[in-house]
Amino acid sequence: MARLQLRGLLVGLALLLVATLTSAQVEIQGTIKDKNTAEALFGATVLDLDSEAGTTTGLDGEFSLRVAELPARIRVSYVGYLDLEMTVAGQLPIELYLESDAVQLGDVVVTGLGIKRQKRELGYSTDNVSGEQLALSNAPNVINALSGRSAGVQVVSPNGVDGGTTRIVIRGNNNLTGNNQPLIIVDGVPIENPPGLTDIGRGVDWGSAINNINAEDIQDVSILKGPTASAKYGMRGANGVVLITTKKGAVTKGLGVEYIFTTKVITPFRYRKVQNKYGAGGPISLSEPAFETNADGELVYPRDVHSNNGPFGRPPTAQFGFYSPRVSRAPEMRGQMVRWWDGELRDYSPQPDNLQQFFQNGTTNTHNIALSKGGEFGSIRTSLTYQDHEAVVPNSNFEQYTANIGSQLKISDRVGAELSISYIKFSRKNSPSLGDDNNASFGKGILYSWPRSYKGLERALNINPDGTRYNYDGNYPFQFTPQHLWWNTFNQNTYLDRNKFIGSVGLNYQVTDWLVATARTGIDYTTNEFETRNNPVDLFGINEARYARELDQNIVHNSEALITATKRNAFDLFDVSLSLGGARWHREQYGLNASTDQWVNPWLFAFSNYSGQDLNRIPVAQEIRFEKKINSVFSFLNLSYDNTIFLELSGRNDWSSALPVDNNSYFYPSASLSYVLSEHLNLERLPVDFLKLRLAYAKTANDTDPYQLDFVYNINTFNGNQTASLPNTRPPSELRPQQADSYEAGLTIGLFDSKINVDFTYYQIESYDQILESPVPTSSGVSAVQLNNGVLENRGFECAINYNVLSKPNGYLKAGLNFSSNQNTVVSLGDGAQILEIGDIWGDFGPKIMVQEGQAYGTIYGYDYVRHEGTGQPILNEAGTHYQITDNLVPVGNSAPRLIGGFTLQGRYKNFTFSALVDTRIGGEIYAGSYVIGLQTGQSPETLAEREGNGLPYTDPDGVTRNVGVILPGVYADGTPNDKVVHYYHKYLPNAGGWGKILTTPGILENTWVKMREFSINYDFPSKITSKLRILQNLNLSLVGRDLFYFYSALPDNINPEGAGGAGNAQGLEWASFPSMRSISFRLAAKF
Amino acid sequence: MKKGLLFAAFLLLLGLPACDRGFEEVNRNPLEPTEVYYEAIFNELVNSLRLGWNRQLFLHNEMLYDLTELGAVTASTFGNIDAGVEEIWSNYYGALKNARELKIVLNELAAADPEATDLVEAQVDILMAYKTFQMLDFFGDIPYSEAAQAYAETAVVRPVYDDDREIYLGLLNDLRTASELLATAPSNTEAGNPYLDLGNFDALLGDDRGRWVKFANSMRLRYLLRIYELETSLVESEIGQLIVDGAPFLGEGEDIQMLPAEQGWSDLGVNWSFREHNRLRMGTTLWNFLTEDGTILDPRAPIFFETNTAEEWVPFPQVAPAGTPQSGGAPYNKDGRDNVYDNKGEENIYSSFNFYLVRDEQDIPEVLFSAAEVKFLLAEVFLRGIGTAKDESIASFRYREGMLISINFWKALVSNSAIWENQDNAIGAIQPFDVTGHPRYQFVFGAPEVDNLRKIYTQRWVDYFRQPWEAFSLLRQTDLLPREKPSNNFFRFKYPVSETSFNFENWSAQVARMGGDETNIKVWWME
Repeated sequence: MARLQLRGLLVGLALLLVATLTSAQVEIQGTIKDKNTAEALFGATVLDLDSEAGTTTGLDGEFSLRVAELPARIRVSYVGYLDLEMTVAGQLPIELYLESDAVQLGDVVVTGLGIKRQKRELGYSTDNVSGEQLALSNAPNVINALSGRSAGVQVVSPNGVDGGTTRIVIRGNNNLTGNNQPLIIVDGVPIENPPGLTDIGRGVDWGSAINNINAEDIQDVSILKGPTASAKYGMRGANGVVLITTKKGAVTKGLGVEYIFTTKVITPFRYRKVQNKYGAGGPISLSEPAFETNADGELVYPRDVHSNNGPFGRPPTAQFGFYSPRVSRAPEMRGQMVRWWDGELRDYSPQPDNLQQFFQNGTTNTHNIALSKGGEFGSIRTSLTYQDHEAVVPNSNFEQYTANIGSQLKISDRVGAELSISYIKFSRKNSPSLGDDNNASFGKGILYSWPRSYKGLERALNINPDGTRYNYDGNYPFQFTPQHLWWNTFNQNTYLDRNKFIGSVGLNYQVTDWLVATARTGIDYTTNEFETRNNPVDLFGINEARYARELDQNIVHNSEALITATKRNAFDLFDVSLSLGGARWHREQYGLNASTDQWVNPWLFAFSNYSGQDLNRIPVAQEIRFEKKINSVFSFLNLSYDNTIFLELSGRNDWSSALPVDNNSYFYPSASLSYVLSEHLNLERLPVDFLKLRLAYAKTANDTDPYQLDFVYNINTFNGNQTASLPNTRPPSELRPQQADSYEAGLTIGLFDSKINVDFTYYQIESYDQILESPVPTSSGVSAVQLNNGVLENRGFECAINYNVLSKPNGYLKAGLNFSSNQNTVVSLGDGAQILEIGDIWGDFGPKIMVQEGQAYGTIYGYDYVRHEGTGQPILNEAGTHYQITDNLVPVGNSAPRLIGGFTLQGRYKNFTFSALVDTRIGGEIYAGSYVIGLQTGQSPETLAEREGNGLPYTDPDGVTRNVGVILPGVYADGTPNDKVVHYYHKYLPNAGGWGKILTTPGILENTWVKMREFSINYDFPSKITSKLRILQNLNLSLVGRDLFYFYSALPDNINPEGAGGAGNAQGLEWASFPSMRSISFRLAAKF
Repeated sequence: MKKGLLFAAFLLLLGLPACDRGFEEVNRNPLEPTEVYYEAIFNELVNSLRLGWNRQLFLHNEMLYDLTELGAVTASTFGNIDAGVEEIWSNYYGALKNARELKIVLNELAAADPEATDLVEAQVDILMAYKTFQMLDFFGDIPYSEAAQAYAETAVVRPVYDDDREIYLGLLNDLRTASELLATAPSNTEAGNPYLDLGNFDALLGDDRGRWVKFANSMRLRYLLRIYELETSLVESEIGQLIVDGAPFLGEGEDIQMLPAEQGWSDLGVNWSFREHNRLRMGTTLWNFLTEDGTILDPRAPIFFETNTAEEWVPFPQVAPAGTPQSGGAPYNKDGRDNVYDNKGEENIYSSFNFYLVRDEQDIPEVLFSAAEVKFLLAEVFLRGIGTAKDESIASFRYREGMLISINFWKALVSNSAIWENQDNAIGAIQPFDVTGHPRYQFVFGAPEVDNLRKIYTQRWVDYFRQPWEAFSLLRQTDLLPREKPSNNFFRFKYPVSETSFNFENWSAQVARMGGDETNIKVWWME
């Protein structure tokens, strides 16, 4: 089938070529240029009004048109310019200048499938970011660079380092459990962009595929918001579309060679604030903390704070839940000599820099060389890019080679072709483990395991002179925590090799002046190869060694064709255009992986190296498979009246292979209306010179992952035989597509001669028939059932205000503000489902992202205080030591922001340009695990208060009174306020961790921040200077700072407000996050 | 115009027809089967008998050893009972779901001759009875009749709770039926077909019907004795019948156990569970019982335990007075000790569980039902004259037999373990016969019944060394076990969080019926 369709497409393209052989009698020639800049206009339409024959201009703006006879009446039109009609009398080449259409607000946008339209016409919201801007911002990837630049677009880079995953969501989450990220299209090819890490709690983040798209090769990026985009891209566009167009070359002066060098230094800078007064040791009594001494009378490094005979009559862990013994609650660090755990005598003194020991400055260097040429044939650009990156953590780096060719070919007057090919070779060594990973997470080690007196001796100790792993004896005090972190960091390596090829070819055939046909086919081909080598820890070269390898191949084919018939001035002032198209999408993935960790032969990293003692651990290849096909037909009808009222109607039918045969075909329509009111209203008295109303409706549908229709068993082996078990999630009895209805209304206003432009959009999206997994009690035999009728609703607004503050010949100043707010409600989970789990770190024992009907997506659940009915105060026990905790997880917060926004300022003065971007998130909460653990471990500066004697007088069991007491705020069960002074342990210790029922509420904090996202300054050398160096056409230097600082963050102690884990749908849990990082880049661009 | 139409027509031809041709094929699950052998489902049931990691850590090592005084927790515990309970719960209901599925598959397979599946069904019933009894003893009432029915035609996803007594009696009935069926089945069904069997898919008992019968009968004995005081007449008639019939029970060498090496798996969970908590040590109660004035009396002592870092035998006081030093070091750390056996850590001041017992991933079995226990159960039957005449000589014989089988069983573990190098001399030096002759162990004819019963129970308790859950049941069944601690009224585990969260209505109704979900609520046979 695949081959047949491809062949069909090729035959079609051949037909297009044959059809160009047409003839007429007289040929007129000319050039079309912009009236202001005199730049040649590529792709302008020239129409013979008598015969209705037409052509388009080439790259140099030239055209030739055969007409029946002279004089001929022609019309020249180009998107964004006023039409020009004239009579041509002679055959001499003519030069025509088009005037830009100011009231169109200047914008021409790509709306998908290669269709360019005036922004004036659109009934829905789009945004554009130029490639220049992207390249200048030197963000870790293209998506990161969009942060703060477009209303309603939320970009989250989860905790991690450069090269990690990025989550982008436009207009909130429309799927309860599925993918909520927009479709990314590069030159018409939909790119698979699986997030590298979705687990909110832990994992290694290998990054999103979008990281591999080279910013220097991008011409521009269009963002199509909301489901209206799915009329063009079907269900995969239901979350919006990010359209990336790569550079295709141009007519250039000089050699057409450009060289760009960028160097970037990434600095971790915003470390968690900690106290530096008290070191390791914990609550073994309510008396003043003291060192134990050994037989020689020496002070001994504190070892364990667990005790049956602790101050509370019960072990402290039973009292407060599990916590690491490595708390910083011992005597003051005064440089006293202490017998360390390894037997050495060392000073016990503050280690203010011990949070930084894992981090270093990272660097990224990028070299890009591009050759560009334009001419009669069209244009071509080819570029080579090399990037190398040294991470901010040790033993991690990556490098990437990108070769790119982009070309626009003018095959004949009527036929054009577009070609784009990228080959990417990406190699990465290691990516740090994040969150709650016991074996390799430094985030966890720093937060949780190592006290303020921690000297980091392990870094030097981890490897013995003979290359074996250092063995800590039983006295090692950190044995509940990853003692071999440093060994693991340097000796357990995983290498990723990725080869990626993105290619597309498109043909454009102007069949007649009123009929255009386009066809495009493209491929996104990726292979990933992971190799893991865990070095053996012993001299035998066998123990704890591991070898694993994974090969993964992912192929996406996409082909589409579209014919568009246009009739201008039909029925006088009406323009009509009708398009018909079809598309075919096919994704195939196949992967193999296996590992061996029961070795026989030393240092042999091979699958053949296994002992076979444990049948379950013989390396057996696991397979990964994915195959899905979607076929589509679609049609658009565009009507415009007097260039003032625009109506677009679309219909699309998709067939998905992932759905049952009787439910796999679904139709969805859309309609959008745009009315330039200012043409018809008398606004003379108002400062309004442009006013447009937009209305849009779209329906979309979405399928699901493949292979969900068969009733299958999970199979495994035991005792050398197969085992079979019913899956833990019961599949739905039938599957149908998930659907969404979206409505959008907008207003565009131009004020004061369009100096100020305001764009406002209100939208509402109702998603239904949602496929989701609902948890059920395991006593049912399964842990979840899959349902297919959840309903959720998003509504919100987006607003963008742009102000051209100044526009002078030698400079300008522009300011922009965008903000948006989205409100989400889960209307129904369907079929009596009670709750939906989206993500968690510690299962039922800690905070979770869950949702119930009527709540908003992103609700954080946890154990809350039990509050007194009358006073609303939390209830304490009679001793005033403990709060009552709810039996179950209950809603304690919501992670969705109330408002997100960005402020941009751009300006030029003579040869200097600058740009600044501030972005913000207002409202919404986060479970800041680092905060509560900082309190519990006594690392947080806040915990000093009572220890420094600023508490209430408290008498310990030895009868000693010190000012270390607190009264926990709350009431007793009868409602009378608590007035008992208790040891401060009761204030700080009990609320952290995910180990048993522990109060979640104290960790729920507001997460509002305002960030200096980007500042760049750029200098163009004057041509006076560059022309002296004859070969040099242009020289540009720029300096860019990214993620520079926070103007404000509501989170205490410098906890990373953007440090939530994973790029999955669960957002809002922070735990052991890395410090914030900023980068400074220097960029040099020279054209020859 | 014509060309345009031609092109449009071409597009339609390209796109429209058969827009979903071949889609069904594309979407067929390529990795997992829609049909399996029934034996494979049974194999999964046996697989589910392996002890869960969290169960071992949080319930056994941190709680039950200390509670039953088979060991002592020397420093505070994680206390994350929920994790262990949750694991037991999902293991059990997952198995129950598969057992129900297996019966459906069997019935479909033998639609023409339903009798042909009887024997496999009997084996399933015996296996599931073993698992279900444990659930009942842990929790009391549990979801059962409606449970594990998520895949049933009329699926139930929030099952109601059932009365534990009814389930108990039902299981005893199932066991009788199953053992009778297996014991008496002819070679063919009435219709002349051979019975379906399990062949080499029965990793537990090698599809040996005789052993399944013994397993069922032994289990009946255990649970009937457990409810003797409450269901006296039923118990007497059932046990009487077993004795009269000369029903076969598990004999020496017929212990029911999971054997990692034979079954091709590594018991990684056991070392993990000791290593992770690291604070479980030998306690005074068991040490004092197995020794006299600090001298080892019973060769099981140096099999169960080992000396501290200073190579001394030091038990942790079961009731530790204030100021008792905690235990440290890392005696269970395989990294540290695999190469250097003595590397237990300086602070390891108490005797720990024997390193090899918890380190050997291959040759140490997980015991489900020991042959020794059967002898102790029979000893009790004859001592007390339950369903049969009192007979001290049979009781004494069975009791002594039980002790010898137990001691030999544990000694055999040492010799079977490929890695057990550092053996205490006492293991080889002390002869089992000498131990059983010690007055502390020896059956005394004519002594008050309770004195001999105390000895029988105590030996059962010792033999339960790696079955702390059974020791916990025995502790609740009798007050005749050696104890230093006062009773703490811990009688059952609370229901898991998944029940309170996702089965709230049924859980609430159940809790209301029981008067709470507390650990001091007695299971039915304690009342």
